[in-house]
Order: sequence, then structure tokens, then C-alpha cells
Amino acid sequence: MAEYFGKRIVGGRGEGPAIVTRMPVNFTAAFTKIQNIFPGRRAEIRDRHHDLFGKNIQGSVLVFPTCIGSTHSGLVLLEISYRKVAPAAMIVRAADSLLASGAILGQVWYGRGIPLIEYHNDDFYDSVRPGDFIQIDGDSGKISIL
Amino acid sequence: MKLEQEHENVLRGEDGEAMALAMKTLVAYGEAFGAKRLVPIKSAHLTGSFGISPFSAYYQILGRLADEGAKFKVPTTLNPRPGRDLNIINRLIFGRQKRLESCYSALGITPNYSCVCYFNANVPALGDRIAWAESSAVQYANSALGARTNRNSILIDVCGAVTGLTPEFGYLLDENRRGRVLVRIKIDRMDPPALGYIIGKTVVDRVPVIEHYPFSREELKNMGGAMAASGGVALFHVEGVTPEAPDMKTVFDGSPKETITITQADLDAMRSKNTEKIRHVIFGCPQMTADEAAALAERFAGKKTALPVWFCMIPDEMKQFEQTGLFRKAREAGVQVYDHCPLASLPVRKKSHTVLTNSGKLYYYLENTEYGATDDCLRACGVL
Repeated sequence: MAEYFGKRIVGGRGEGPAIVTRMPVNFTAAFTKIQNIFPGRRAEIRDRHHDLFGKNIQGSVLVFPTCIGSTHSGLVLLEISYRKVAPAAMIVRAADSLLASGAILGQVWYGRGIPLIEYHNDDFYDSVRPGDFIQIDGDSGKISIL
Repeated sequence: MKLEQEHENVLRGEDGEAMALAMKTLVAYGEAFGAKRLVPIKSAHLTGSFGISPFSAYYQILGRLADEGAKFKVPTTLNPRPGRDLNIINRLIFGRQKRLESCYSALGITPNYSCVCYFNANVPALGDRIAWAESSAVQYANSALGARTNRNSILIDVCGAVTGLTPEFGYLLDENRRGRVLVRIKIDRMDPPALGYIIGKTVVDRVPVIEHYPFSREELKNMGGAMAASGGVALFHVEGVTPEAPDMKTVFDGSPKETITITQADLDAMRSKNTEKIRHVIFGCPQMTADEAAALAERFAGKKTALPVWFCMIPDEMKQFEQTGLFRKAREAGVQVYDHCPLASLPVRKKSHTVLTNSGKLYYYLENTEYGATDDCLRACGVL
């Protein structure tokens, strides 16, 4: 087991299999597509510019560099929290205002936030592999790869 | 974070439960970024103008605030309407629109219905602290006007508007407004949205400083819209053009640590090579001004478009444009002129319905869409 300590952005605990990308995520482009809004409503990334195209991120620990694009990101992250199809947690190299807001909104308004840790160093990103089981404690900033 | 007594009172529920949560949201948002206080804002701009039926949480929250009698404390503008009832699916998707607009009206919205609020409806001054959403508007306000706002999410924008406050961090502070990456341009035929798209993709969220080029306000708008879609750029500078970049020395606080060069070949690589499959041409994302529409209408005057073509305009500017002879000529050429958002009305369409646009932003967000320089779009319409 390897442990890393990052910076708490949004508290709470979460665990799940890692989904890892080196591309920034545009949550609006990813989730405002038919596959996400019609019955079934999977949290499936449908951004054709993205290497996670077609991946369902529900229950995962999503590992990515940063969040880009529209200020509708919060609508998407709030909604997937509200519907209980959000990632279990997120680890990001640089937490921007939109990502943090999205993770916070569900917590404040519905008591269902997405724990979010910012971690800068290469060591974690070099060793984490897709499918690794990860636990995070958003309050202390601890990331454990089991 | 240190709060004023009056803010503590709101947090304790003096103005209602939803207002308390709005304040709590701003506190949590500020604490995530180490903000030390909430500061008053001059205005807000909201992005949540589409009543999207399959989403519910945002609309519930807005309804709670409206039902509680909350009011926007600062002038607050709103993004475009989602569009015409083009097909049954769109009508179903935007089923919440009426209720949404009545909520905003109760809260005290300025009904400009445009992402381009910053030319007329809501114009901040140099140094004003504001709390806007809408990535393209945030970028224009920060970059071209020198106002100060973070890229605020949907709902964070509403919390700012009802409290008149925003947490002080990020682009509100001098130290985060300096240039980070110098962008050299080796370009013969300027194409601002393509340039913006490439810059956004390359610098992601750092502050780029573009070498001097005499961009018009519309070109800054279109370049910025693209930059904020392909990247997360909240602020850019143009040497000698934007207010915080009188010269390179000032904007970089010394000399740049990183330089990128964008060439004509980079811009040309963005342009569609499959124009024979285009079924629809769209101009106006961000929405067009009357001047932009007039310049394009001249190119259509006396001709007939071979493909359906839309001009999407700022509603107030469309009213002006409708009074002109060029509007009539554009209509005679087959141009459809709308005041809605092209992005909202087109996601659901036939697979064969490929769109060509000169908008870097629309190109990023809309599936099955190709990018073309303005002349490519005119050529596809058969008017060039």
C-alpha cells in the first residue's frame, strides 16, 4: 500500500477503483449529452475530444489534471451528486474554482459532496494505474492506493 | 474565513434557510481556496438560462430562493434563451424554461438574455470586483475590461447575486493577474477564434499574453470564447490592447518564463477539410453584435445561400439590426436571424446534420461540428 498526502479541497471519505487521465476534463462537454440525460442517466463521459470517452465514472476515484471549460460544470457535478451517480472521490493536480464549486454544491445543499484532494507531485501520478483501488480521506488529504 | 456580523446573521438563518445555504456555499467555496474574507461585488452575471428538464437540483434550489423572497442585491444579467422549438425533443428537454424564467424574474433579473452582457447590459469598469459565471463573459470582463472575477460556477453565481458578495481569492488578487505565458504569433491571415482555441488548449489555465495585434472588441469576444472552452483560461492579455498590458514589462512583472509560438499553419490546421458533408452553417457563438451581423450580411447581399445559415445575435443588437436594409438583404439571401443560443438548440439532431461554424466555442461543445474560418463558412454557403 502506498500513501500520499495532498491538500483538502472538499472533505469527506471516498473509495473506489481509479479512473485515470492525463487530459483535463470539461464536465459540461462530458455530461450534457443524450446518454447522460435520458433514462438510465449514467455518469458517462461523452466528450469526443477526451480519452475517457464512453467511460462511466460513477463510484470511481477520478484522477485527472484539472477542470476546463464551461461554468455549467457545477450544474453537472451538483446533479450527479444529487442523483447519487457521482464519482466516490476526485484527485486533481490543480483544483480550479469550477471543480471545487461542483464538489461543494452537493455537500452544502443536499449533504452529498464529492471529496476532493489536490495533489501536485509526479510520484502519485507516476504510480497510479487505472483500476487501482484507492481510498481517500478528504479531511486529512490522505490518499491510499491499496 | 473572517465574516462580518451581518454575514454571520445570514448564515444563522436570519434571512431564511435558503439564504443561509447561499452564504454557506460562498464560505465553503472561499475556504477551499484560502480566501480570508467575503468582499462586496458590483454586479453578477448568471449562466443558468436553460431550463433543462432532465436536470433538477439547480432548479429546486433556485425555486427555494425565489419562494423565500430572496432578491438579487446587485445588477444581475442572464445568459441566452435555449432557442426555438425546433423539434419535439428540444421541446421536451427545455420543459422547465417557463418556470425558470419566472423564478429569475421574481429574484430581480435584468432580462438581457445574452452571454454577451458586457457591451451594453452589464458593463463593469477597470478594477471592479464582480462575481460572474459564463466562461466567455468572465474572460471578457477580466481581460478586455480589467474587471475582477473568478470563473464562478452556475449556482455560485446565484449565491453571489443574492448576497452581493464573493470570496476574495484567485483573479480578484493582483498577484494572480500577471502574465504567465508569452504567445508569439507568426500569422498572415488572423483568425481570432482559431487562435483562441489553440491558446486555450496549450496554456490550459495559465494567463497568456499575446503579442500586439489590433483586435476589435468582437474579435476579443470570439477569441476569448474559444479559449475558455478548449482551456480554462479566465484572463488573457494582449500587449498594448487590453488594459492591464500596456507593455510586456508591466504585464509580466519582469520577463516571461515560458514562450509559445503559434503560426499560420497551426490556424489552418483547425479548418475543416470535409466541407462537402456540411448541412448547416452557424455564426454567432458568443452571440453577434449588430456590427458583426452587418459585416456578414454584406457578404450575403444579392446572393442566395446554398445551405441553411443562422446568425445568432445579442437580442438588443438584433432589434437594431432588424431596422437596417442589410437585415432585409440577409433575409432575402436565405439567412435566418435568431436571438437564442445555437449550442442549446442543436445537440439533438440527425447524425448526417454536420454543422460548420466560425466559432471556436461552438466547435468545441457541439457534436458533429467542423470549424471553418469565416471565408470557409461563406464558401460553404455558396456566396464566396
